[in-house]
Amino acid sequence: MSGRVVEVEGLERRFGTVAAVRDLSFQIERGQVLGFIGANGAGKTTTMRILATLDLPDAGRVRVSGHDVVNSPDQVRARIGWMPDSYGAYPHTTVWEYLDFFARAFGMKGEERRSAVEDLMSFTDLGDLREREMSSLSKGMSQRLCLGRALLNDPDVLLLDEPAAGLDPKARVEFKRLVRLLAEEGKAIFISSHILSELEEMCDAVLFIDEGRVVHHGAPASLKLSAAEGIIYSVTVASPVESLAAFAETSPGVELLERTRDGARLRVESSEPREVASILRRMVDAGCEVTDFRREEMRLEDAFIERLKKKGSSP
Amino acid sequence: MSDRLSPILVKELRQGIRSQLFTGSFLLVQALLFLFGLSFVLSDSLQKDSNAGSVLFWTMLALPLVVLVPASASQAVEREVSGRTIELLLLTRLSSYRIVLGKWASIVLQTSLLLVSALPYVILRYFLGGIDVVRELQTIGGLLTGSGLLAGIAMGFWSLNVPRVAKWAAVMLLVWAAPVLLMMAVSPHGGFGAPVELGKLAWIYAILVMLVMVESAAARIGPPSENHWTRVRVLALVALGIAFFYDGAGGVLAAAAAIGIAFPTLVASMSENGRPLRRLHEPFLRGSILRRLALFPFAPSWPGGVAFAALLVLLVPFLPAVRGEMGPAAWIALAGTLFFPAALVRVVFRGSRPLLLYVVVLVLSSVPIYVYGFVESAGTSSLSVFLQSVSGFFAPLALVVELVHPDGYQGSELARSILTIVTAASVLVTALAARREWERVTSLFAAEESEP
Repeated sequence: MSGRVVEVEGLERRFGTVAAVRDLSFQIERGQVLGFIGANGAGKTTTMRILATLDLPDAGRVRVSGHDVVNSPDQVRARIGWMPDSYGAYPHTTVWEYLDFFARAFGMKGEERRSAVEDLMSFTDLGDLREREMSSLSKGMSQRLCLGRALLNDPDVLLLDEPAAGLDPKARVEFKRLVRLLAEEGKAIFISSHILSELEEMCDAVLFIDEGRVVHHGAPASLKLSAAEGIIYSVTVASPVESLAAFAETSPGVELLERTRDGARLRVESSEPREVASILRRMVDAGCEVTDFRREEMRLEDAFIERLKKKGSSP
Repeated sequence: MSDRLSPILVKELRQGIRSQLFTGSFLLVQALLFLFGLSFVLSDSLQKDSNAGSVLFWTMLALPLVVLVPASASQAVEREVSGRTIELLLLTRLSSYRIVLGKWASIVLQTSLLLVSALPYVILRYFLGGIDVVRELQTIGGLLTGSGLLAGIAMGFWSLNVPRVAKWAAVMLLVWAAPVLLMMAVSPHGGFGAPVELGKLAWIYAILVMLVMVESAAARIGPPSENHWTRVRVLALVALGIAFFYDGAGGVLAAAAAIGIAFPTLVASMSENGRPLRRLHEPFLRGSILRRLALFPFAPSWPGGVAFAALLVLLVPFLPAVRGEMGPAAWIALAGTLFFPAALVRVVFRGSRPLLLYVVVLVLSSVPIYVYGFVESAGTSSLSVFLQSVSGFFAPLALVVELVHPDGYQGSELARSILTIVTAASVLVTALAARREWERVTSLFAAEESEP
């Protein structure tokens, strides 16, 4: 049996005159975590909704575990777990009742239902919260509950739309652990997020789309490699940060990427040590009281922005 | 709760009976009934006049229902849509129809709980004053059925894509109409002096309206891969079919109600814009030619909708209430009214919002008629001359005039000729477009099947 759980070929979706997704093709293997990156309106949610059978493609073919999303939506639904970006809590409903309801809705009965709910409460560490009302749960607890619900039907594929948004650091770490655990169990995981550093740690590959088209598909490192032009330096100054910004603005080959609390992140076009040393000297001469100057590894966020810039400047 | 119960019913009951709306209504009912019980025990006149006592008792019980039922129905579907929890439900094994039906059943059960809580007071009244037990039980049944109808119809209205004010107005109108229906059902004379037959008919059509509205609520929340058209069309046809069994006053009521159900269904069918999906069409493409022809008007997508509209247009003149009253010109006017906008929308405009376009063309196609009628009737103050002139063109009004005017159709020769030519051309153009589209749909499926 093929390891491909999700196969997308030439997917297109238009809303009136706007093309939300254009000629999108990709696959997800069993046990693979694929990150889905793109700016707002890039077509991420549309793609996920089509995969979840909640919308229809205008062209192309999408298969989940060998079943076509258009012609066999019931079979597809039985094989996917969907975790949307917005978590809708039911009023006057406890954690246990919520999972029990969805287990019933998936057709589970009697002991099978009870044991499935208990197993998931223990997997998502919600055992102590079974009688808590959903409305009183923290964001992290709610996300774990939502993940538990998405796992009730033991899906082949998990579609996670912005699952880490709004989580505190502890909850994020816990969430990442659960995702990796599920991937090890053989589930294919398709995960979209704006927090790219999270994806970098969680994903085996990333799919980067812009205006409905694939810009990059591959390992996170390959995206960074393809976007890498120049080297990033983190600079800390004792003088006001404005002096650093003013220096970057007037210096050719130096670009301000991001201001930090007491400095900035700069991209330097040249990797020549002499050229870098000369830049540092000019920086000091320009009045920047440099207390720290260190080379940094390119982050996925930087690669993402670089790729968007490249695309914007290409004809 | 039992595994046999619908999951949605279980969920809605868990949520519903803990909500402030239900507990508030329950407490209000108990307070009102306690007050009634007290006044019943203390007042001799209430004990002697059992009719006055009944009216007071049931009015007190009905008042909270009038609040609970529409309020619950309005929240039932909208809360899932606005909270985006509906998507999670649709990805389970539940169809949108089962979801709506479960929510409806939950409202009915909550209403039953309120009504059951009144039973001790019914028993008290039985022992203190001579009440007709059968009549009291009938009233409970009537209230329960009325609440069920109100809940279903209100859920349907609430799911329509119209402004909130319009939804509330429609639901308030229903609340006002519900007691009329109830009286017609439970009164031995049919209520409001109407014959019993009319009362029964009103109930039958109210149930059909409710089923159509529940289906439309399901269509609103359901994914595009679900077919709701077939069931709605069957219901519209059943509504029309029932009207064939009634003549006289009942026949007029039945015909009006049937057309009231069938007309929006027909308009929606004629402007259907759903994506043709193999899984929805497959049941209509199997079997012998006769079977496929018989099922074709119920097939989802526009060509089936056109066939369904044609079927209704063919059937309407044979309704007992219309038979003999509707001449060929009126029949042509009806066909023209419905097919002219369809031809224009499908062949000329090809817009992305066909339903809106269809309704706009339907209304606009009537404007020249009013101008013509106004010019024709200038110099006379006779409304009937105006109406007769108007009826010379295709418009819904032509049919109305034909039905209500004692002299029948009196339009001019020219108007009649224009009407006939435009109707014939519209039907032909629509039929050809429908055929072309159906061939495209079937060839699409054939191509899909031949793929590896």
